[in-house]
Amino acid sequence: MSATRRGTLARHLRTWRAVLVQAVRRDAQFRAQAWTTGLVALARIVVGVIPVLVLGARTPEIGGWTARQLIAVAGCYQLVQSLLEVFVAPNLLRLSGYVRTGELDGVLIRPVDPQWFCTFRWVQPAALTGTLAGVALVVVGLGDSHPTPGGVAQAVLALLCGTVLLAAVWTNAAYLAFWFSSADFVHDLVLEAFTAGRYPVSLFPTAVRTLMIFVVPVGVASTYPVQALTRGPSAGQVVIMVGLGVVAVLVTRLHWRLAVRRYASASS
Amino acid sequence: MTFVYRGDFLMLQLATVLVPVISLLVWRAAVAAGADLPVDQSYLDSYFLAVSVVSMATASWTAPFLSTSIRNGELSRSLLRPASPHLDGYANNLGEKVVKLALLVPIIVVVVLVLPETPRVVGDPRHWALAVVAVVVAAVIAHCFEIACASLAFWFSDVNGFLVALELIKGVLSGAVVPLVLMPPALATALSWQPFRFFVSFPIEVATGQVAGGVAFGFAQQLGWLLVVGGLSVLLWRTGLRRYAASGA
Repeated sequence: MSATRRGTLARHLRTWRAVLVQAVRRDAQFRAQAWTTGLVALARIVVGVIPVLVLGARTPEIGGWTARQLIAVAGCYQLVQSLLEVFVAPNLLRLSGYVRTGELDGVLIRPVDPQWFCTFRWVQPAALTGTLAGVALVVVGLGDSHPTPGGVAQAVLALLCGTVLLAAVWTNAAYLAFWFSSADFVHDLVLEAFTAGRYPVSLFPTAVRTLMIFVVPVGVASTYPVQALTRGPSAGQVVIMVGLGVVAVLVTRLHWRLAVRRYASASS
Repeated sequence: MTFVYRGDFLMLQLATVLVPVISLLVWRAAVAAGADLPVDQSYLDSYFLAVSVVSMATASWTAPFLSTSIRNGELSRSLLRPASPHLDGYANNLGEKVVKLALLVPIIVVVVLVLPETPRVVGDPRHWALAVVAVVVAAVIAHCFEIACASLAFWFSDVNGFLVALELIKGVLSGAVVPLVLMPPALATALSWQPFRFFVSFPIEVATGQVAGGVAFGFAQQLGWLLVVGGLSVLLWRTGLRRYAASGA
């Protein structure tokens, strides 16, 4: 890595640390709002896990999954979902506003990468309550299984790749704001599509399974980690998720470049 | 305005259908795995296909808008007009539902066509006609409920967190997330009496001809909740309005 590149990376990391500190201070200052965000994130998880609990109570085993493993899958989904809510959602929800009002001008002239800035500028630390609840669900769900070290490593990799993939899918959908005058409800559509990740992919018909791995990769984020923890590592899955992750990041980068070219700023 | 943002509205309706379709596929897998359910697959097919239409038809967006207008004083302008300040809300809800229905029905037809196993719909036409009545009453209750919740903004400065939490709870208790009949049997009595059942679950129960406690008793319960929620909304709105202290009030 060249010295300039290292310098750029360090600058971006410093900036990110600064926005993180600012976000924590903001939450500490507006405590009532932070409490509301945290409690709503928790309530969302409780409500989200109810269908899974009902399903587990009615079916002791479904598609090779026990009722407890279903809870672990839902836990992984909630974990990844809440990471998106903390780090990505507050940014993507602002994007169409930036484009519509021309506020993006102010981003483009900053000495940081504009795409990076538009994706990571805002953080909502209070929503981390959801992440903790997700971890708790995974622990409850997998209490009686004994994962191998390789399985644990692969599960962590799957959660990471899953988060990157879902963030990329959502980001690309949010970039529709550059192409259409109004695309606010695209967020609803993407988030509802993600909810399929609450259930293992094997419960769905083959066509939907393929969609859940390759198009809206919620399966990578929720089914793969639990499979790795309960059934051990699988080289095939590593290839799929790492490959998909690389493609998704490249496509998102390309999409941004094309989209920004269409942007007719407020001042020009 | 809805026509201007038609692409956006189409996406919203797709989103409305998506969760029930996911649930339908999952519960079909459960039936295939030999789950012990009190209903058969045709009931589940009918339920999950109807739930997006019923949820849409009975949903109201009034509370967040009304509570904001109470907080920032915009309500003053509506109060000056020679008509009910709620007229705008009624008209908005009705108009929007017509457009949404026109978008939603074709999506459901497509879903029926692409589902791997063609869904079987239960209930006779008379039941479905009766269900339309239940949907209309449910929509009125839901709208009154929204006005009652928004009226809390007369007493509290920010009710948005409360409204979001309520929306989540309503999703579960109304049967929009999981059919109430699949909930644990120990909760059956409590679930059959609570008001949210009459927002979504009850109209579909009527349509499928499987109402817990009978159709007539169900309608009596629904009308009872209409009186309670309607009365509450009038009470809260009127008492709240006396406290309203925004500029110009």
